[in-house]
Amino acid sequence: MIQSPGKTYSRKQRWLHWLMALMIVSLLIAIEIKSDFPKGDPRISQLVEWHKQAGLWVLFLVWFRLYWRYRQATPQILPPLSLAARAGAHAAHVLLYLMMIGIPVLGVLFSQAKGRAIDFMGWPVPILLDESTGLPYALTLKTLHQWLGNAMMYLIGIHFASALFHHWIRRDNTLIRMLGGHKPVADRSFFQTTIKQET
Amino acid sequence: MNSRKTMIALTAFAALVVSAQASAFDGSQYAKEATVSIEQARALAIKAYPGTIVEEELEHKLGGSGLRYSFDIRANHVTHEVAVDAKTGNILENSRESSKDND
Ligand code: HEM
Ligand code: HEM
Repeated sequence: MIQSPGKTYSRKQRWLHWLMALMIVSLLIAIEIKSDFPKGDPRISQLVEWHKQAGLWVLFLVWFRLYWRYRQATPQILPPLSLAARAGAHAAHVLLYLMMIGIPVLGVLFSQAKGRAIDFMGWPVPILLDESTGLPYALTLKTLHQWLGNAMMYLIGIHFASALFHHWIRRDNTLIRMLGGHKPVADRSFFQTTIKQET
Repeated sequence: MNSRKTMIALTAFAALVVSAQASAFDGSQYAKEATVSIEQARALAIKAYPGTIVEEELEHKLGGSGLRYSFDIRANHVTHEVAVDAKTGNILENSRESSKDND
């Protein structure tokens, strides 16, 4: 893995990370609270619409993230992590990327399979799975979407807890790399003197 | 983080995924209260409106015994909501779905 020492993620990477984090958390909250409203309440349909639109934005934006991610070296974590911790973090991040692609695709598939048209910002999304072929799979695809969506919630929880662990307990620069900002972080570890801002 | 913590985290995650998958349908946490099984309810619902089940849920709702399986069944581009009482097997509802909920 190529790593460049003492830097943060680029400004656009940080921006997109937090924007998408906000979208994913809000689309999960939207779908979780929808059952608190009585059936037929117009707010249900608004929450579901927010869920779908935000989910499709995630599917659209994740490709930019992956492109920037693989074009640029990852800023190094200081003090360095053990190999196992690096592998664990890497596995979790790969899984998150796969979920940011797979879950919204499943959402489109199960909706179309049961005959519900999907649009993105008013544009019709191409039919990937036509009702006449997809109908028998609609329920399975929906169940899969829900399982993986719920699994992603737990994974995000672990991801969030790990970020705090690195920041408050291990006291390394992991979170600062994603936050950017102006705080000098020289004293966070005896390995480093200063962390230069990239931007 | 050391490798043990990583292992614990990954094992915990795997356990969560497995437990999430163990509950196979929405509302299956109420299955203990039901006397009609999901398989029986599916058969009754499909008899009431022949088609393909695209949604299924066990839920508490006023009407009948108060516990019902709610199905969305689609046939010939029309979706019906069919509700089967989870204690008596009676059909509580069989009507064209209002697509208002957008789900
Ligand atoms: C990153 C993207 C997405 C994530 C993480 C996600 C996750 C979830 C989760 C966790 C649920 C609720 C599961 C439950 O109730 O236990 C759900 C439900 C749902 N999702 Fe998504 N989703 C995403 C994108 C989409 C997209 C793009 C669509 C459609 C175009 C979609 C359509 C739906 C619908 C209609 C439901 C409601 C199902 C129901 O309760 O009847 N989702 N999703
Ligand atoms: C909820 C608050 C969140 C916090 C505090 C947080 C924090 C962080 C931090 C500190 C990093 C850098 C870790 C590293 O490079 O080793 C990171 C990376 C990452 N985050 Fe988050 N994150 C949050 C939410 C999310 C959400 C919702 C997602 C969506 C899936 C996400 C996806 C990712 C991914 C994929 C990476 C890896 C970046 C790379 O490829 O190097 N994060 N996050």
